[in-house]
Amino acid sequence: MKKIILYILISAAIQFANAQSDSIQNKKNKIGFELAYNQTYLKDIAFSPLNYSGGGSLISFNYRRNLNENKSLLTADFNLFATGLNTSASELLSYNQLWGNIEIGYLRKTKIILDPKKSLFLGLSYNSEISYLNWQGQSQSYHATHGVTVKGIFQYHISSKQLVQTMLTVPVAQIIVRPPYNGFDKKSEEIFDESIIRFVFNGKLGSLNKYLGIFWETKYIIQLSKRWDLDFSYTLLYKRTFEDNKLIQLNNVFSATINYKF
Amino acid sequence: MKILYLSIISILLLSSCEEMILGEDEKNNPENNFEILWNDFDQHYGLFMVRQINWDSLYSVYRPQVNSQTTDAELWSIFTQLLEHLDDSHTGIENLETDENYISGFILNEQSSLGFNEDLITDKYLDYRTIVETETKLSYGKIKNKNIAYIYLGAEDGESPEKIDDVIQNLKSLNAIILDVRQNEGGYDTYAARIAGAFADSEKLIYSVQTRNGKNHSDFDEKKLFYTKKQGNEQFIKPVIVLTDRYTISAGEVLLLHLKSFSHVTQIGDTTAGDFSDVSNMRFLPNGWVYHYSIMMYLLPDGKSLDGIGHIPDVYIKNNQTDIQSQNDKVLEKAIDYLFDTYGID
Repeated sequence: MKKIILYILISAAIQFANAQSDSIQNKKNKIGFELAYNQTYLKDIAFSPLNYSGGGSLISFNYRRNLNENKSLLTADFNLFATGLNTSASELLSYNQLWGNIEIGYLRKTKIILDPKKSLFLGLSYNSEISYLNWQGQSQSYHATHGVTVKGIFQYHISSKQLVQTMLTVPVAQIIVRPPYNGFDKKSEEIFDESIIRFVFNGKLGSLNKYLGIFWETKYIIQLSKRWDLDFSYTLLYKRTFEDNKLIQLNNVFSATINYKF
Repeated sequence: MKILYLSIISILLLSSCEEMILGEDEKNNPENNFEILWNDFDQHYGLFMVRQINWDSLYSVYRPQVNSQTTDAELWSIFTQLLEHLDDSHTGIENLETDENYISGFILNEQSSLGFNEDLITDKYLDYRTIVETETKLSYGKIKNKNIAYIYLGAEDGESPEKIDDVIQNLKSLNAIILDVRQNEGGYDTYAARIAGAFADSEKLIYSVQTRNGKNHSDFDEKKLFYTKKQGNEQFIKPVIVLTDRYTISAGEVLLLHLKSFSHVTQIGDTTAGDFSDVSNMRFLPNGWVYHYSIMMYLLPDGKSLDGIGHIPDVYIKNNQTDIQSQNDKVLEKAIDYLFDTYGID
């Protein structure tokens, strides 16, 4: 039933879009509000030797600004999700994960692709991401990264009203924050009490040899009107640290975003 | 359109490969549960050296007792026998399904509760008892017909340890204080330090702390030094008797580290628990059991440790259940007598 409703909604949106006259990139600025279902798979050795998985909701705000007649792009994203994670060992070991990130990027359109229907943007972004796990206040773990990521966006214009876009970001230089060898301890607590900012940035500088973090998003965008777009997207987040307290996390995020253009 | 199809296929592939990404989950069988617990202790427990534990030899004793046919009850028994060797009440295991709970070396600590009764103290020995509401277990009063104050501190926890300054202000006209930390469940070391500051006679180094930070039993981070010092506007430096028992534990013992460095403090009672370290995060096993352990090493300035030993009293005495049932607190009475015999305070 849900699939039928979704199909009707998408069809209606396409029909509505085709009835409009303007192009999908008709405005300089775009603000989007995203609601998503997030599916997480996690193994954090600092927290538990067990595999965990679960689902939860995600909210996101994003801002896009087209510069220089669509030759460059300024992006800003804020994402936040809360997920209940379960293990097959016991339902009593379920816990909560809070995750948030902020990213600001600048990309330029490349001249590699000459097809007017396609465009490729490449650039850099600053990303700050924090994840926090807590089991009944008796076990905690965290993971934060702050630094520069390489970012690429490929766009394919299906029509003047519809666009398919895929985006890939890979971190290249990051401050990686993880619990110490024996977990969140007295020293961590002292740093936290002194200054949350210091705690959140109390990590080691690393690159791909210490941390792999892939953020890949595929998005279908349809213009609803001159002022409004609707997106449907799938995002894959994959994170892995290679230190003693190894962490592997995979997220599948299925989302819908409503965008206002001005 | 090809891009769209390619994307959909990629999504389906990536969504269905949890085990490939995370790796195979830990197996829930008795052998693997034993291996995980033993290895986790081997790589993280902080007191093998201090408590002189040969963890490898314990493996050779207990690992052969576990096989695929081992029942939960048998595995529980094997784990508790293994952990009892540590004699460390900051180490324990819990079955969340059944609420069964085991704490290493806890029998003596637990038994000591039979030798203590707060109501008896209030009714028989005190003129009055004032409870400091903001703090978890802090109260004070005056010993009947004596020029001696009484303070009870049952935990190093509460909103404001500075309240001890108000308590001292109220009691400073008396000639001595009996500071009772029996059945003290611990709390925060910083709280203990602040309480001790109200009794400090000088600043001095009293202990250091190191946290295990590597796979070898001897891997620890740099020593962090802790000093005791005067805190508050006024300190009580007249005779202080501190009462202890087997359940004076953790931050309660850290308080003793401070207090025993002062020349005007005497410890009377039973030896304390001998458990100083902070407790690890709760750890998890594939069978759903959880456990925790000590991760730190507290050392005296001379490099010795009181972990597993505890604070040995200057005057040893303890109550048994019969004493309490007979409405007698021999430990408190001994403290009163000691103040008279040693300082002439009555």
